[in-house]
Amino acid sequence: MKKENKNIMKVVKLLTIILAIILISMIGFFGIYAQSKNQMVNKVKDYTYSKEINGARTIKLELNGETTEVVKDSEGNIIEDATDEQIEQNGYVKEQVPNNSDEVKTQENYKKAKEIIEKRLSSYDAQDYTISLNETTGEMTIEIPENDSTDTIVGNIAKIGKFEIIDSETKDVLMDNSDIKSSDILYNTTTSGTTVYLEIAFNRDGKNKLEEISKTYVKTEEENEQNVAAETTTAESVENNTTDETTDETTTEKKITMKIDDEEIMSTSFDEPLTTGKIQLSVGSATTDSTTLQDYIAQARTISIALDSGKLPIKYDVVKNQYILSNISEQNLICIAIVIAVVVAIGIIVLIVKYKLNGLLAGISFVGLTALFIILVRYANVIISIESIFGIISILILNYIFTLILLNNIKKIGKEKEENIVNKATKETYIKFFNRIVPICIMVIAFCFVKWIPISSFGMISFWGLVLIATYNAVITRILLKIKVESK
Amino acid sequence: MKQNSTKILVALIAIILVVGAIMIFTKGLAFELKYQENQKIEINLGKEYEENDIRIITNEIFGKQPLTIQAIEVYKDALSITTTNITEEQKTELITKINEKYATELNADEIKIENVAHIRGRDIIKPYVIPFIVVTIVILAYLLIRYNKLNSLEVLTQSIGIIVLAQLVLLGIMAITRMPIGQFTIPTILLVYMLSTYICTAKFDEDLESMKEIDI
Repeated sequence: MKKENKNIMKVVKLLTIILAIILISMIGFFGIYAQSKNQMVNKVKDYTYSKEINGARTIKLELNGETTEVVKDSEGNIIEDATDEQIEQNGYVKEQVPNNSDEVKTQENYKKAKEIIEKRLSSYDAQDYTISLNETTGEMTIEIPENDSTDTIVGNIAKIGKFEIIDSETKDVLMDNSDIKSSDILYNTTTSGTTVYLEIAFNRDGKNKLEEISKTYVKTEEENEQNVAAETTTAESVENNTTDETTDETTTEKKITMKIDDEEIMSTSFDEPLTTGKIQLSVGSATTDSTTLQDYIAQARTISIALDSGKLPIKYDVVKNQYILSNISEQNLICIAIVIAVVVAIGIIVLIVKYKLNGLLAGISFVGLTALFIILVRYANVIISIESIFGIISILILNYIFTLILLNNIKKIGKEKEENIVNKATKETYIKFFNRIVPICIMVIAFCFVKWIPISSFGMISFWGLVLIATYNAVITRILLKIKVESK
Repeated sequence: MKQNSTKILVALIAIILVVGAIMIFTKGLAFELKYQENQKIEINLGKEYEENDIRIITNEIFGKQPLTIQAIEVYKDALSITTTNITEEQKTELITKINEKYATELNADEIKIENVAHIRGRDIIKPYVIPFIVVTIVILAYLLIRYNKLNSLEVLTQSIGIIVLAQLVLLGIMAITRMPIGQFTIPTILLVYMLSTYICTAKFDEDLESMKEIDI
């Protein structure tokens, strides 16, 4: 009677686990549907797809074909900010100059421009991009994933990134991009709020130039003492005094102007020589509002990326900016899923033929692992790329190998002993299998940290797959086989 | 029995490598449309289209030319057709047939044929090179330490041999089957690489076991 009860309990246990696997499989493969706004909606989180599957923003860059009017003197030197009077008086000539002269339209420059754009895309963390360059025309077609930063990238990708420090009066270029080493974003928080700074670090030459400039372009003040003395008599005039003090300063300094992409960023002179080779520019004013602060950070980042990546040798225009859907349709993905399902079914049939009921139970467990795996992938926010689909396939292959080793061990140990067969077989299988997949684990963990979505998605998906193989088989597969094998 | 299957496997690998090499030298490798120079036209239909209908039209006009149809923006009322080569006649015929099918009044003269440069092979491979090199070095170092009881030089050469051979077999299969190099190539390489490292450890485990048996 006791033995009968035990057997009934084992059957109940077995059925419960099988039903749980069926339930998980239904959720994993088909989802949970509930009515929402007169529609049946799948409540299970959807997959996050990469650009190969989801589509990508396609940007086409073409060489700017416009001209700019410049004023030149008799020797051909460009005169900036010349008035009509000056042009007439000095005999200057107005000329239309192409933004991209024939000299800059070279294959070398096209390649350099491509490299700079690649650097910018990497700096914007636009992983998984593709660029095709027409080396004859210089046209570029860029594909980037669609996300929150896509519009920022599109807006800034074709910026020249020209940096100049010029003499405010003579317009002589004192420093340019070749003097920059790197740039960084800094923050300073005080009671009035957080201020964002863009720090530009210069190279050795740049550092020397900056020191020289900061000694030359010095702030000098001469106070009008008479005014100050005259207006300190009444209490009422204290405010005026302060105002007048500043108004009456006679500034005689030479100033520099800093320009980025010909846009004036600041015009200043220096209080003291700069010997550090670094210059800090405040972006916006101190703020406590997080949205404003994020805007300032974004502005600083845009400038920093443009400066760090270098100056584009050619002026480009964004002529096309479209979201183009992938040529891999949902139907293609379903086809891939069906092929995988057929192969898995054949694999399970092989297990049943070779290991009979043990094979069937291992097969059911295998299906459960697959279903649980695809649920896990959704909630672990792993991006589904073509690489990660292959990651899923590789995990299924590895789990099949694991199952084969386990069933073999059960068969082998079953012939020698009568007790604790499954536990011993499971232990041996774990030792053998995980010893063999150490190189795969190394590969998977390393790939998780690569900043390139196709590789990292393969790494992430395989990582979760390996974790699942280790935990799921220790619990579900082992218990299923234990109930069956040790019920004899 | 085991020896026979090994012989069959070796023969099969040799055939794949030889035939694959011949195919590469005579016909070269096939590339997916995206990875070769191509031409593209964009059509703004202004109404939703069915990809299958467009496919029927393009099959009539472009025949066996490789071709992709992609929707532009999410509304599915504009599309881009990319293929190896588009002549003016083909473009006009395509527009005429689309006009007939969708009762639109598109003007072929207003639709431009765009030349799209290919994506260079080295650009596709570039992000994978360093991770692969680093991972391979670490894996080889691990195998040398883990199987230190076996001949280190043999472990090293056999590991490299298995990994390289697996990739060559894959290349051979791709050349023979004319499977184009494209979106699926690198994921397949990753999968084969993963499995080849498993083959390495499984083989060395067997070698270790047989060494132990001999010692006993």
